[in-house]
Amino acid sequence: MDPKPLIARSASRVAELADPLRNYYSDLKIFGSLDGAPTCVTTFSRVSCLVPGREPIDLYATGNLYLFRVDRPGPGQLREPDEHAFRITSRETGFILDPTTFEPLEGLENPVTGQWQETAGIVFEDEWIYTPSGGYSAARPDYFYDKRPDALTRARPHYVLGDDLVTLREAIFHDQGPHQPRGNTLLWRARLAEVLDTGRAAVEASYDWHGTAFAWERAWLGFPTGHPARLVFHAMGRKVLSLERAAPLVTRLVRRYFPERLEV
Amino acid sequence: MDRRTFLLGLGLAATRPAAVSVAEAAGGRNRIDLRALLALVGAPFGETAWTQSIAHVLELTPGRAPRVLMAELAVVQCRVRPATHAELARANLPASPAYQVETRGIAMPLEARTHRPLERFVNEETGRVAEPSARRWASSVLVTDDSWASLDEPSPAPRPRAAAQVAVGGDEWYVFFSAPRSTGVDTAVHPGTMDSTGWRLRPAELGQARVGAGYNHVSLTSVDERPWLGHAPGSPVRLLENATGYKVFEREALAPAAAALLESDR
Repeated sequence: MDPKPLIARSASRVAELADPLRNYYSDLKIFGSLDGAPTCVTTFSRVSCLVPGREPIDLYATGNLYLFRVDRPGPGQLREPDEHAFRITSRETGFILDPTTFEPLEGLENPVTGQWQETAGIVFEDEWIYTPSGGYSAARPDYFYDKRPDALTRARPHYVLGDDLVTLREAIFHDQGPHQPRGNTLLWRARLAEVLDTGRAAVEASYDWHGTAFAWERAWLGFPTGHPARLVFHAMGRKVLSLERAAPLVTRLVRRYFPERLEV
Repeated sequence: MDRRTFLLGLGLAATRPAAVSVAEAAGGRNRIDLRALLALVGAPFGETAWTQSIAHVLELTPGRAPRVLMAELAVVQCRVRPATHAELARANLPASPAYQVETRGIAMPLEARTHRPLERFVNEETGRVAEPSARRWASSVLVTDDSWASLDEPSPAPRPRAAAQVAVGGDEWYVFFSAPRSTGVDTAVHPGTMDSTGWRLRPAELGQARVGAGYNHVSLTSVDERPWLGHAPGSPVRLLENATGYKVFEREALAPAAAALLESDR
């Protein structure tokens, strides 16, 4: 039996989400909440280091808390009027953990230089304007996250896998430079029926984030610039609708070290 | 997904020495023992579980920005049962609790955006047009608490089984395995490649007859593993594969495309 015709027909189910607006609002429900309530994602990752000539090293792990709020843009934040525009405020707080026990690490030994490198908290804030045709940084409106001319048609592919909807999004850094090749992929998986339910403002979803970059780009690791060692990131987590349902190991650390970062 | 990434999810790393113990997760001394792991990847003895996944594949060429290469739909059927004495003897394994894990898988290249079958592929490096092909595999392994043996590729001695690293995320736990990349039990590792396979589970389900599981993996592979891409052997081009999916216990619960793919492999 040739599976191609059935696979092709299956693929047409993606058409259910091919409508740009439906697709757009589905995405917003997956990573945030359309009613303006904060949502959170907790993730655990393992970071492997590929040093030429050696086996991969499980270098460290991370535990991260992402808080998101989806609401309307503030005055002057829109490049042009768009009734479907939203502002996404995100706050990331993370910790470097032991790759085996997932306990916090104060430092680790650089596998190339042998030097002890102290860890630091992972702290990021961001604010984006999100529109059906793409998005841009609220602070730098000329900064699009996808500069390709066909970004609109390329953005937000979806795959219907049984009862689930998988959204695939790659973050490719297109600028040339010594950091290339660098890239990552974010995969969300949620219940399709819940995503399409217009009565829901938000859905829970699983979160998988995978990527690779040169190790020297993480300055705290202490690799000489241009060193060929590469990191491979493997993160798994879940988006939930309240902080109480987030991973306690991560929220406990945030509460202890950055209590002011439990709100967005 | 392929044979390698699926078996890695049981701690069956081909070349890496095993960690000596199952990791203790922070916040408690939680551990995933072998029976729990088998329940995670499979079904009750004698039943079949299917894991379906969709992957997104980026091509990494030295010095250049990555490009989106394709998607890949994969489905693996898995059956687990206690090993027989004859199998244990054949694999030179001790008569401790041992289990046979039989998997059969198929993966089909799809267009990255439309997810329709990839009919033709242009290799940007060589300019040649290639015809994509599905990958199929089958394997049978024996697993004990701390060792394993392949019934397809027998070796003089059992191999150590790698330990799982478990991150406790409240009512969802995450199990990680990583290893160098190789295409067979004793085949050479391509430089600059690796696999990391993950399972997500609900701890409340552990101990039940059927344990649900989410599956994902990331791998950095050599293009040599997909000759149809048309790269010269030993090319430094690497593929970053990212997959997500989940397990079902009824064939009817598979996505139609996954069911068709499985059917084509009969």
